[in-house]
Amino acid sequence: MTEQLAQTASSHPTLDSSTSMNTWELAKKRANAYLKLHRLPETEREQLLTRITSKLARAGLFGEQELIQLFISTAQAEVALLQAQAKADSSPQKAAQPTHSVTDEQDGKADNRTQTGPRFERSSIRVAPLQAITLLPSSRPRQRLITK
Amino acid sequence: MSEHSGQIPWQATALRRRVVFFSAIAVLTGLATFWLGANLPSELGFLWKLLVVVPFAVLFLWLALGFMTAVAGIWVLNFGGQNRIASAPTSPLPQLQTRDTTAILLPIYNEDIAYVYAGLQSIYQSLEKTGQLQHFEFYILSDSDDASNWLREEAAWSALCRTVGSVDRIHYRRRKHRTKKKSGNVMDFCRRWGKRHPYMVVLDADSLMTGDALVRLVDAMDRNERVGLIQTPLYTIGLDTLYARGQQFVNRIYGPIFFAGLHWWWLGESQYWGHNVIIRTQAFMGHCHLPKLPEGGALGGEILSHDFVEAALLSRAGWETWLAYDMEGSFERPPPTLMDSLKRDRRWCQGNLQHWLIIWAHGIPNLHRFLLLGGIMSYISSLIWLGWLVVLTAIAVFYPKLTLIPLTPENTALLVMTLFLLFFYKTFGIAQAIRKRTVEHFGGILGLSSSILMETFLSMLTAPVRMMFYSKFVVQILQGKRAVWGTQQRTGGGLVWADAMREYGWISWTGLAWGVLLLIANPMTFLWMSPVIAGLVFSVPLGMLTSVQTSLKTNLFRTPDEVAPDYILQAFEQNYAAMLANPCMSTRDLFIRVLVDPLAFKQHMTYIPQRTNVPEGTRQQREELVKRLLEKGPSSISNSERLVIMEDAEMLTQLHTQVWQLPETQFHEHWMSKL
Repeated sequence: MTEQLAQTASSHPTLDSSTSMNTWELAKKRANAYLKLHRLPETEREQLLTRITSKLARAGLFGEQELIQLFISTAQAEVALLQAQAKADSSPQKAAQPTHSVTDEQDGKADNRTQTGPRFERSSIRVAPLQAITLLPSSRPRQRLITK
Repeated sequence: MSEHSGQIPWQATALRRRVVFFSAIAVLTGLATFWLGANLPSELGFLWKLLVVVPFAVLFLWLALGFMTAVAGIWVLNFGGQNRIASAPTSPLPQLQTRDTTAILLPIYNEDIAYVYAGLQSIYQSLEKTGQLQHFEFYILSDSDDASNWLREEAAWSALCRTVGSVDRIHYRRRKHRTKKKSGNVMDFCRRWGKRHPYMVVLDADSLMTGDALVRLVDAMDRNERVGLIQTPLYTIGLDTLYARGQQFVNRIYGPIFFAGLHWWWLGESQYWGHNVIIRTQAFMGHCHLPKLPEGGALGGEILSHDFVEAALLSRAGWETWLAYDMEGSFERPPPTLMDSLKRDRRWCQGNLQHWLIIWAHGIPNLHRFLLLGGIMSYISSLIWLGWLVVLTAIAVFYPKLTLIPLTPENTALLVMTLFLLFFYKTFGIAQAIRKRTVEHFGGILGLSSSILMETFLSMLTAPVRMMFYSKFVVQILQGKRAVWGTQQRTGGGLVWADAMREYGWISWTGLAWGVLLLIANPMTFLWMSPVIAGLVFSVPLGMLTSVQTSLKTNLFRTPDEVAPDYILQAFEQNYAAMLANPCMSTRDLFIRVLVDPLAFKQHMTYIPQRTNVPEGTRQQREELVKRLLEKGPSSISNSERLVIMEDAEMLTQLHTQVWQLPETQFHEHWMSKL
């Protein structure tokens, strides 16, 4: 998606350079904020940001909205790549963490769900009958309480 | 009763005891009623006499029942203990042999999450200390339908598992649809996991149970294969309003006596009080799935007070239900103020009145019919009392020259007997405290005595207030007005005068008018009824007084749980403070956090299923929801819409990216600034 957006750059009119610089900084700041929330080590985050910035430097000028979209989608792709690499490099034994089952945010799969409880061992349960008794003769018919 | 054999020793004992017990009650009630009836003025017509004597007999019967229970209790505590179901608290802790784990269930619904999880952690740690944690697993069963609460519960569960270093022992499940409220929640657990666990311990959101108590309960179930349920005695702790501390004191000083007394005549047909109980899972699953009562009447619909009914159904199926009367280590929190207690009672009143339909069901054991009736009477008796007082007032007005209760020897004896039954059991509490050398834990002899005097004074004043409210509840319910069974207020205090006027004002005015009428019409009757009138007139300041925060350093209403708290109570205080400081508790809006914070988003995504077949109509509705959320921010959608988003992985993924791609102003104003 990033490449497609970048390839359409040539059809956009040229923007004022100071405006485009502000827009660029804004989008970069947004991507930086996004990466910060991943709690990556500082150096790793800076490297990622540099990589994103240089990737997008080749893409021409965009409006604020498109640039933000580009930066964020690129950041997401880079983070996903980083995590995939980390998974491939990590030891086979997973740490015992309840958050260990991290879902790929762009392709959430059911089998990556965190098990918050043991496997079900389903039972069917019948409703208890509650049938009224009649103490005295009554003109009303004997009432049977509803059971499900 | 038992499925397994004919006469079983405890049943014969129970029968003998109940004959003696109810005979004594009948004698006392008969004597009192005779004295009253025989000494009524002859000028009074037969109908008036009937209206005086019959309600009196009913009320006196329940008074005598309470007193005789206390007498039985003091006997058991000093000379009894042969028919206990669980090992004595002072005996060595048994070593469990079961291979299967016991499930500890924590059904919650929009609760104070820090309190709930701190409690769970404390129970976990208490079990760890016994060295028998491996025999237990915890299930947090959430019915929370507030999006923020749900998210906070998830985050807190994750944090708790990390703190205690366990992912296999503490489970979390949130139910999407709150069918049949708490009883449905427990039954849902049974459907999913009932087969895994031979026993389940049901807790309430504010319950605490020590590891010692839990181990003894499991041991008792292992040794007694006919037992379906063991209820523990409940001790109230944890709050500092005057009302709550009074309740905690009363519970501690008299509770052991009454629990022992109840055990004495209940034996294997005990009631179930809804929590802090161990239940044989298969027995519960086989017999306690509650039906819905027929709609249309005032008492129809879902069974609200499920606990009494479940005990009756277990008993009907031949299972024994016991009260482990002297077990220590089972705690809950009282309502913080009189008003909170009354709000809780409104819900319970509706649930208990419904039991009128259960009493007449086939197969319910007679004692359980009586116990269900007792639950009903705990509210209906207020209406009877009010009616009786109205009759006395009417007599006072229509016969102003008449002395309704002249000072004859019989009436003096009646007065003495009534006061004796009302107040003498309090000396049992003092006697027990002296015998067990716990007087210092109640504030010394001075503290203990002043606490008893104060709680007597307060209960005398609040009884008429309860009478008015309970009467109102009964009338409303029989008129078909429903109680909403919402979240209980579990903390609090600090009522303001305006609120107190609004809640209690009508009672004060009623008391004032009543008092003036009697003072004018019949000053002697006014004198007799002055304690009741005083309670009504002063209900507003009384309501305020009960909500006042007290210092735990004062000598008033001190209890052993304050002076020498159990390990679990100390652990709880630390865990609660730590949980409150946890970031997941302080984050303002977790809904925003899940949508914005990539880690929170990823974590939540792992909890929800991936839905593949979304109908077109639903898809369009959801697209509209996404559009509105992005344009106008989180405040533009309702809680139920938030829940829809939180349960839909596809919407979440879409929103997470699109929020980050919003224009700068929108992004900051609606999202980043609120993170």
